[in-house]
Amino acid sequence: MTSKIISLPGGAASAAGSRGGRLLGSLKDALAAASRDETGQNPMIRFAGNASPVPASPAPVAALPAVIEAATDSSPKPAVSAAEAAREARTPLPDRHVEAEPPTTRVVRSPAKVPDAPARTQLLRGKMSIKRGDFEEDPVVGWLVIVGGPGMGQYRPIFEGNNTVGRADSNRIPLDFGDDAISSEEQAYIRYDSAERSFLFVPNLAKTNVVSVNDKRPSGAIGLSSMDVITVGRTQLVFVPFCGPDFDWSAIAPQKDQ
Amino acid sequence: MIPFEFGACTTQGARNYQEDTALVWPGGSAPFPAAKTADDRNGAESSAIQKAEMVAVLADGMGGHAGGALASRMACEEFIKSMAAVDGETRDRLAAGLYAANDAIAEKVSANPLLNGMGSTLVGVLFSKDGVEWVSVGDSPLFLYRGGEIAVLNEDHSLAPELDRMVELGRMTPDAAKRDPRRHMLRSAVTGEDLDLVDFSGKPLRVEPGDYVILASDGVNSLEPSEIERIVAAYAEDGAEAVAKALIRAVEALRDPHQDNTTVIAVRRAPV
Repeated sequence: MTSKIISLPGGAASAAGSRGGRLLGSLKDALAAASRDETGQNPMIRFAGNASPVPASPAPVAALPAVIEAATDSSPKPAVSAAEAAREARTPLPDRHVEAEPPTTRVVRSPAKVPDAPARTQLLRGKMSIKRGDFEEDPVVGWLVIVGGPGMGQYRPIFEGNNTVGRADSNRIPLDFGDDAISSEEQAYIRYDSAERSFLFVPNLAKTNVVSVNDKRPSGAIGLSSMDVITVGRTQLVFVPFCGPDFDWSAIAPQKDQ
Repeated sequence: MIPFEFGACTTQGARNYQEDTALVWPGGSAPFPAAKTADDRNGAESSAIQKAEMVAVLADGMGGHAGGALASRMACEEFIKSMAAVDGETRDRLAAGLYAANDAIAEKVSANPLLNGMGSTLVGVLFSKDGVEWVSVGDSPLFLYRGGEIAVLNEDHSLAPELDRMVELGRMTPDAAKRDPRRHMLRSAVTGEDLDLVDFSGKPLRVEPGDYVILASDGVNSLEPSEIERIVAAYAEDGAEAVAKALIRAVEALRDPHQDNTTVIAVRRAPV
């Protein structure tokens, strides 16, 4: 569905040349007649079609806005409105089509900036219609920020799917800041489910070390909300989601669903 | 030969940095910075160009710290340098300019990895006797003003069109779409890597007397399209400089606490 937006309809070039002499009043008319919409999805095309036999009957001309009337009366050149001129000018020749392929998925290069800098121009990286495995690296879906204990002030990214939390580097979320009270392997799991767009915290009950979320000690999987405080060993982590109800990577890879 | 007159103006908005760059090459002599702030005593830059062709280029940088400003400046300078050096088909020259800009950024980033992530939009326009032709990457709009109406000439490579479409489908409120941060994410930009989407003009646009062609950075979108139409219409008779300045003043008057850098270059046929 994105492809419609990214690429111009392939056959758009054809009609542009033939309509130079058509007199069009409003921007709506012009948009409707524009070659880019020649594929017929735009209902305004029909409206323009109805309006086109203007030369045959003088009455519709009088109904046109004064600006255009003046142009038709005084100027020998075709009165091409701004919108139509724009459409004509940007009508690419077929062989010039840059984006013939369906668009491909991109990833945000610096996702950390997304929440706090809304008005700033940012770049999505990668290709638009990707499958999950096509990200160059696993896409980040949230972060854990260490707010207490060794490593305070640091953070760890949370990735899509299941994340093991532990002291060793082999964990997807390694808490290797020197807190020995954290199990080296799989002290807990944090899961992000992109279908549900929700986060789950799952303690590994096989480990003797204590984990808690907001001072509760879950005996099974519990949902995580923004700014929940997770304690593992002597380390406190705050959970900061990036994906969720407002955003998921699938939202910018819509081809996947089609 | 059609002489052109241009005016350019810029504002930092609410930012404490300026990452937009605008350059005009009037043909022949060296390019010079086009955009000054509206408060500059000398006002906007303006000139009636008598040469056979003129190049205007505008870039909206990104990448934080020094990166964004550097990227947009390099993109503009390399684009014009290349346009000035290459002969041949307009489209090939525009492409050569764009790729020169992209290559220059790639080289800079590889020389200094700290600059990794810097990039820029680019909208480059050639005004000649044949008309107006452009190349565009990113979301810096290129407007045509004619007969009281504004049309956007180039494609928008941000996610804004996608959001607007979600509004049409009823999956998002217009208000939410307008404030969505994804509106400012780009699907394509000049970063030194492969250019994902490039928009070229299909054929030359003839500039009629009274028309304005306006290059802008996306900060100008703080103004509603109808507002832009109204402002250009009101100042059209006063010339390109007045139009550029009025648009920037209108953006500044919004006093939006999140106002992005905004730069415009307005070009019209010089009055005979």
